[in-house]
Amino acid sequence: MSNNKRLYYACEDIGIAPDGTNSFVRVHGVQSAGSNVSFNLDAISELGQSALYENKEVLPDVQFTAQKVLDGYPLMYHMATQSSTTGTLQGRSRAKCLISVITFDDTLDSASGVPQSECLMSGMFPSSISYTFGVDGNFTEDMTFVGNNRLWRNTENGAGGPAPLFSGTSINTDTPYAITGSGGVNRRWNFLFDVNSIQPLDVNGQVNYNGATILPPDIEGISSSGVNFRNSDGTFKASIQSITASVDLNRQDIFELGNRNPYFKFVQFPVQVTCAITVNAKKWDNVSATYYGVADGAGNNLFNRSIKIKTLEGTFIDLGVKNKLASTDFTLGDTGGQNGTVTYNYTTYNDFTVKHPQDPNVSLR
Amino acid sequence: MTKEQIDFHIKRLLSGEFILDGNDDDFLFLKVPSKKTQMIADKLCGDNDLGMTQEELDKFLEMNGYWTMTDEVDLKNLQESLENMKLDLWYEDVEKRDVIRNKIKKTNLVISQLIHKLHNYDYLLKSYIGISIKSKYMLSKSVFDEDDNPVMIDNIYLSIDSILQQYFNNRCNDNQLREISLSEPWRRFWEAAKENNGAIFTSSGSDLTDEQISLISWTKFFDNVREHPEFPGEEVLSDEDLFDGWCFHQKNKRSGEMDKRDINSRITDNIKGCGEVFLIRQHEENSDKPVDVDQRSFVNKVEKFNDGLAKGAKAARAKAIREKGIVSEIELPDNQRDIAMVFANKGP
Repeated sequence: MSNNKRLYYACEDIGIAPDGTNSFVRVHGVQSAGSNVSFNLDAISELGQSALYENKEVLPDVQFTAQKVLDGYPLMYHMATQSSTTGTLQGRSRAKCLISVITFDDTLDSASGVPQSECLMSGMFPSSISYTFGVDGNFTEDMTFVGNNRLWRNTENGAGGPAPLFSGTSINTDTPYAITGSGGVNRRWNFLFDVNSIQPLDVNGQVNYNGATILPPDIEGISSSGVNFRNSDGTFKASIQSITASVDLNRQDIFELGNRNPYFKFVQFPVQVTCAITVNAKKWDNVSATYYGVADGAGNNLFNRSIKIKTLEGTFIDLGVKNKLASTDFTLGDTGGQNGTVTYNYTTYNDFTVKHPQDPNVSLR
Repeated sequence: MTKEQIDFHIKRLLSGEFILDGNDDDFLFLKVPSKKTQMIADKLCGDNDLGMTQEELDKFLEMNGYWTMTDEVDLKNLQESLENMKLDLWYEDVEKRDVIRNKIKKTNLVISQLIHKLHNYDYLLKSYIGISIKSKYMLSKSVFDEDDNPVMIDNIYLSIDSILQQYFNNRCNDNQLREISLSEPWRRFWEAAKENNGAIFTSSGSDLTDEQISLISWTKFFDNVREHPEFPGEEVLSDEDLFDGWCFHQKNKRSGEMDKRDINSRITDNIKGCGEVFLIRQHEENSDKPVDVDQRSFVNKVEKFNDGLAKGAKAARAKAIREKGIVSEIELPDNQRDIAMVFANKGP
């Protein structure tokens, strides 16, 4: 059933807890969030009757989407999957969580400082994860969760309603985590490219190092070892404009007789991981392609490439060593002063390991 | 003001001088004091240590019941309701405006009584006494005869107090300057000066009097209003209350647009398609507003985004949640209605 209306809620806080617990932790740096519920109705008719026999409600689909800035605090992905035992995409794919959004009452006069209701979603699985690093604006984490349960709870003081599972914090002093060490809310100057010591190389001949961003040498300006070295004036050889790393887990419900709820929302591995890297076009896109394969003369135009992304606030994304260039988009400059850019679109499968020094699961940091 | 009064004030303002009522034909004039006189006057003002601080006066007023918390709240509420009345005046049909104008008149009267009450004891303030010393000193050095010769106060028939009284009684207040700025003779002078790229007053910027500066500000303000894409017309400009209503309307419109831009910038493409959009309160930087005021203004800002349908759905949800304590998604009244509609549509 489609949902045409859009309701805007003023809310105080969003909290995430591992499923089966009430250990909610506030998500810092959230910009906005949205939710959708679809009621799946199945119209059943019977022979000899024009009126509907039953309009069967099957299972509501709940979706929750949120964006947070990268600010040194734990990532939503990690908060939602803290019960995982390994930090890989597969390792984190089984964990589910509770999400609580505490909102103020609709009536303006009642916004007396105490949030009035709690929108509680349980059994929520991460469904898509995306990290964006651009020259304009803040670095962000975008996540979508899917599940089948959403409740609204009246948590108004003295109203006899249930106590909120997540009470939030009505404070006016929140700041990014360790603002002096991590750069606060990270922006373009907090993106780490410099490899300051000799590091081993991986199977692709690229630097195998978790302390800096390593990119494919296909990109004009990136060295054969994957490092974006600096020119003598301190600028970088490749002027990267934006990087977006994302994965859509494409979860499928698995049902069992006797239960209305799916007993698991399975990730249909292999899942495609994409990484789009946009650079200012200083020369060309540095990519050749022929039918006989220019890479190795054996019919291949492409090499496997390693991609690692690192920011000052601690987020480290490892897309593994089997990324291949899927396409390039060359956008020419225009008469309005717009620079020409090249976007390199890489794809790989299943490799999407994200680490952060504030991961609630210490063993996965 | 009458046409004659306006003409007189324009001439007075153009000359930058102030004529004192005196003995028949024996005119005396007040001129802008020299920079040196102004500097000495400022020093005398600063050196004054007589009188109360504002804090001490506030306590004094409160302790003696001369100005209470209730008065404070009343004044604030009246000023707010005056703004709303002026807005109503702008929105209302012409035939209904007289009723609102009467209300505005009455409210203005009460406000001016309250303001008079609030400032009744200002003469006890250190700053007031300082300014009084400063003004008296400046005036004593600014009296000239008809031939521009300085006149010693001790040698004339007017006391410094009566000069001060005349000065404050006969200078134009802000409303009068606003009226003058819209008057035909003044606009003629102003436009002519603009055409000739010349200054309208003979004195340079730093020698302008307060009245001259205020008159220039009002005139420039109305010039800008005349270039506004929604210029309301000359009749509205000359109607003080109606024009205030137009200004409040523009201010609200602009603040609404800014709120919309602010909120829109926080909604990503993924979230735009959602049925419920949750906007997290972001505290205003360096805001000295109490937390609850901050919350209320944020809630108001978000609520503006909900259309009538959404407001109705939210109100129904809030009621159901309040009544039942815990409500599942499917029990929410708007979802019940949507499901019923789907069911009806699937019928014969």
